Amino acid sequence: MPMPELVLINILSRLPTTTLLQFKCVCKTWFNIISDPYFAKLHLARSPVSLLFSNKTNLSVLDQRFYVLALDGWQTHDSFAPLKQLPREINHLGEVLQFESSCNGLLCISAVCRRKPVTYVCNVITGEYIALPEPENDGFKRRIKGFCFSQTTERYKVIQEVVGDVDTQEHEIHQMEVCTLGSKRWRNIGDFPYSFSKVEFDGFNCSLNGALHWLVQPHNKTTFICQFDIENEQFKSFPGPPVKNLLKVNHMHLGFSGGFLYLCEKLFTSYYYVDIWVMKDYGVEQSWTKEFVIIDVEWTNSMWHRGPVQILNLGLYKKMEANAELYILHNSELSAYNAEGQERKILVRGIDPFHFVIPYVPSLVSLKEAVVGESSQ
Amino acid sequence: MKFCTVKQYFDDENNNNVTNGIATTVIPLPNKHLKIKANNKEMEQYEQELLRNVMPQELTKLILAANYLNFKEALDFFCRTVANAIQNKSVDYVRKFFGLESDFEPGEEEKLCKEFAWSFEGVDED
Repeated sequence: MPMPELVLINILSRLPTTTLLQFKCVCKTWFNIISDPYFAKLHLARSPVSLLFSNKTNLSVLDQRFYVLALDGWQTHDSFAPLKQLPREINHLGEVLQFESSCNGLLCISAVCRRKPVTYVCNVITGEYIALPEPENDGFKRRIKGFCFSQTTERYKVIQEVVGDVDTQEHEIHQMEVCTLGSKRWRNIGDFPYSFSKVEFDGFNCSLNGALHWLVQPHNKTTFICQFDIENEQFKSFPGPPVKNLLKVNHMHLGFSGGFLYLCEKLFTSYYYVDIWVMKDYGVEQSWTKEFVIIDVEWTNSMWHRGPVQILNLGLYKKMEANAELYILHNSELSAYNAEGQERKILVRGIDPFHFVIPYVPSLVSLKEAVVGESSQ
Repeated sequence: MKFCTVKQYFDDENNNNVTNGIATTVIPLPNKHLKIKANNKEMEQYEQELLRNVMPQELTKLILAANYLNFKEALDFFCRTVANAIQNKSVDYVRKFFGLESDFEPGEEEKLCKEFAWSFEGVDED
């Protein structure tokens, strides 16, 4: 009895990416369903957060191996073994690889190729990659600030900041450039009306509700978050939580998880406390709520510049009952915190501290579909 | 009401898709669902039980019944169960499960398997 296609799609969209790649071999019907871009989107929407990690401390080392770990059965595990190894090497992309951002399972990586800076967007699952056009040869350096997806045009965009020399004044105006994946040039979209915060405060990608969000240096004493509308490419101030003293911030990270924006902050004056604010209603300033306080000596003294604090399960956590745990990735370590603030370290066999680890949703999104114009394998 | 199609089903004598046996499993589901909706562990146990007691062919029939009866919760539940059952299984197992045959040209299938060879590691024994 043949299964109606919609039912088959219902079943297949619940399977992990690696399984789906195998099941392409089952028969032609399955091959067609799994290769369909619409199915890739549906599957992505259903996928839980996984971890993408490498067994090295950064991407620039040869013999880079990637692993994907699906986060399942949190409550029962104290340790995980990496589930699937991806023999996808990206060393051929260039030297000095640096991970910039990820969106819908695609990675944005900057590299140096034959002494020139190149930016790539790639999907480590399908093995596809595409180089973005070279920026203008005006002697200025660029810094990637965001990688996002525009719902209306169904295109991916990469945003970068044009930075001057190393010793520019702090409050100098910087220009911003956008490249729509597939186009041959970067577009200058004008001045950035704020100054970005210290690089250590950078999150990976705070794209939510059609906008990117960045921490910026306090402006008018209150604004410290900037919102970028992905569709109309405009910058605006965005309300932040009532942090006690913006001038005494030791560390701050802005992130999003499960559809919520969150802010981790630690002040110089709060010795062992890290406050985590969650914006319960997007855009509503009063909805910023101090949801968690982490009391962890090790944490607060750790080297925050090695990576932002990432909460992995905020959406699920809010729906779960008592004994629910919050899962946090920080400095390549995974911890679970319960309501009393007690921590349980989760070990992943194969990952050492400071290995490159990011939250990641493996996807079947094909770069060929994402791009109108050039693409390369 | 979830069961507007049930009456139609019983009236439709030419219906070969759903046997009485299946209907008796699907129809009591809503009550069971409501009782154990909040408790994930019980659902898991029920799922395990279902998988043990019900042969793959029966499970696919259950799905078709739920689909025909337009019973979304049961359909999603069964699809989830099937997905968990086939998640780490081999391509051959899946073909047997759904009663499918490979319709690839001899060379094609090999090429595909080679391309995704890396994803076949760690698959369960049949």
